[in-house]
Amino acid sequence: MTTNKKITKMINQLYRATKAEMLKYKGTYATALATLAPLFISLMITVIYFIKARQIVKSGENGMSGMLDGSINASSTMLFTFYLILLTILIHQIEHRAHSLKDVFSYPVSYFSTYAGKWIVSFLLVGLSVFLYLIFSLIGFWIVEIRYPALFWFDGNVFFLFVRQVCYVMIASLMLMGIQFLIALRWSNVVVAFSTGVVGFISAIILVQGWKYVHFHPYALGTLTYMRTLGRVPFSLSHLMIYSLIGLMCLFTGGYFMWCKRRIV
Amino acid sequence: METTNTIIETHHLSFGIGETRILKDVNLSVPKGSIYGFLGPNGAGKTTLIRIMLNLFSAGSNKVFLFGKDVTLNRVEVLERLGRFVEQPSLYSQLTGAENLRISQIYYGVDRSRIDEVLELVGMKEYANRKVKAYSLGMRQRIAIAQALINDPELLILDEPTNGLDPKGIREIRELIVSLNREHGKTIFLSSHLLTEIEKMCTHVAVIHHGRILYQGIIEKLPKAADNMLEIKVKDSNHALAALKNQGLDAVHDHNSTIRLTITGNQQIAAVNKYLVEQGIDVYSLTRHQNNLEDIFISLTNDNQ
Repeated sequence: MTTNKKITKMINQLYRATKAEMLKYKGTYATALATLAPLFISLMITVIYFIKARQIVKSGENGMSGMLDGSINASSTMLFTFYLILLTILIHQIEHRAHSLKDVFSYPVSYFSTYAGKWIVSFLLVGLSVFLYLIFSLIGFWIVEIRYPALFWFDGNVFFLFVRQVCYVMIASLMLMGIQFLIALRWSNVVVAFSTGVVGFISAIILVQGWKYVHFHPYALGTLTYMRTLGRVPFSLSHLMIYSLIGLMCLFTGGYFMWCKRRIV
Repeated sequence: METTNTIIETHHLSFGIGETRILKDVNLSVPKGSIYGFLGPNGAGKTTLIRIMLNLFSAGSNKVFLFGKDVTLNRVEVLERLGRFVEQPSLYSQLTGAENLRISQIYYGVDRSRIDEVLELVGMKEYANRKVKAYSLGMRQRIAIAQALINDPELLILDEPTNGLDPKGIREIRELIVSLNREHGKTIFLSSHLLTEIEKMCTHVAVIHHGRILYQGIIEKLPKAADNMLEIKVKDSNHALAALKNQGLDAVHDHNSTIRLTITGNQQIAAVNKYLVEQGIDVYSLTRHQNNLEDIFISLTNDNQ
């Protein structure tokens, strides 16, 4: 078989595995979480500003900045972390609950295709959440703007900063996602993945207070990235995001060997 | 390695997990076009062998050949040509039966029209758009078999396909398997610990116990692996037993007035009857007890312990 044919075959298998993987998400908690979590965060901030904007926003200031900053502040520290922990658990529970790994491994597609397909769909789900989060935040802002036209007006720069902050935080959180992804894949018991996530989260919250090597802690990267966008920590954004992406690649590669060696019982 | 009439072959296959040896020197040869029963008690190694065939466990190269190809080295090519059902239906309960089949259809890369064809084949077309969580076990089993058929495979590997079904469900699955073999020409390799099921469906059988194959061959020849028994009911069993033993026959007391005797053919039954009557023993009945698979299985396993 020529190299071209091999590559075509590989791409075809990856496409099939990813497409099949996407179908499994219909009506699952993972999909519900991916769509409802952004709605929940945005709704929370919108309700707070809808009710108490006059007390929160100072006269003459644009409330948009404070509103979006409040949203990303809450999200980067806690909600994104727990969202990714829960999402990775729910993604793998689809397979664990159906006891279908033995089927996945006995379809005529390469191990790489089935493995990479799972990652791709997970990234798509996270991407969907980020997109919805941005959209819902914008809708929330418009609702508040209608109620308080004197306190809120659209500023493209503020929104662009918010978009950048959200994307940076998500990129910096990918290493955390990778760790949780592999743990949830390896152990069907949700307690293992959840407790690892909670331990990681709590330790990160404590260490962010002043440990000088905290920028190597995968669970602290999201929070540090947000803090860096406000100039509150000295670490560079590129360091935080590149470190996260390198970690993710290492986890992806290590996870692939784990996937191939897996004995399906 | 490819032999035209053999679809599955294993060569001196041994496999273990940790210290436990699960399969010991298994040499299996499954002919094309057969319904091959793989019979053994729980824990004998049936599912392990099936998992090795599907490359879910690796036993190393040059051990297992499907369609004449080494499973370890040609995993994808081999899996393209077979359908499988391992232990229990693994379906996504939040999806409908048709959606579950759609997933399999995409993985296999076959035409979408196959979904309707296999639903028709397993008699599930009417229920295809119901969520799997609303299905009975029998319906799940049928969808799982439909998944196994979606790529129109030459070989079907079914691990305990009637497990957990009620008698009606068992009969339906049995009829389906037989029709897949006779009308659609599929070779079927199925494992079971239900001896009567194997007897009713299979053309060939292999008996496995403690990881070793005790017998393999066509099912009609299997009874010859064990002896036939004659049950004799007489008025005075002690007298009859002594008389038969005097003749050098291997007779034993079974119940109060029943004697069991190993025989070789119909002529011997007549001779025994004549002899007992000549000895003045009242014979109430002579019953030839043709060993069923269960007797044979017990006999084979005892011989190998």
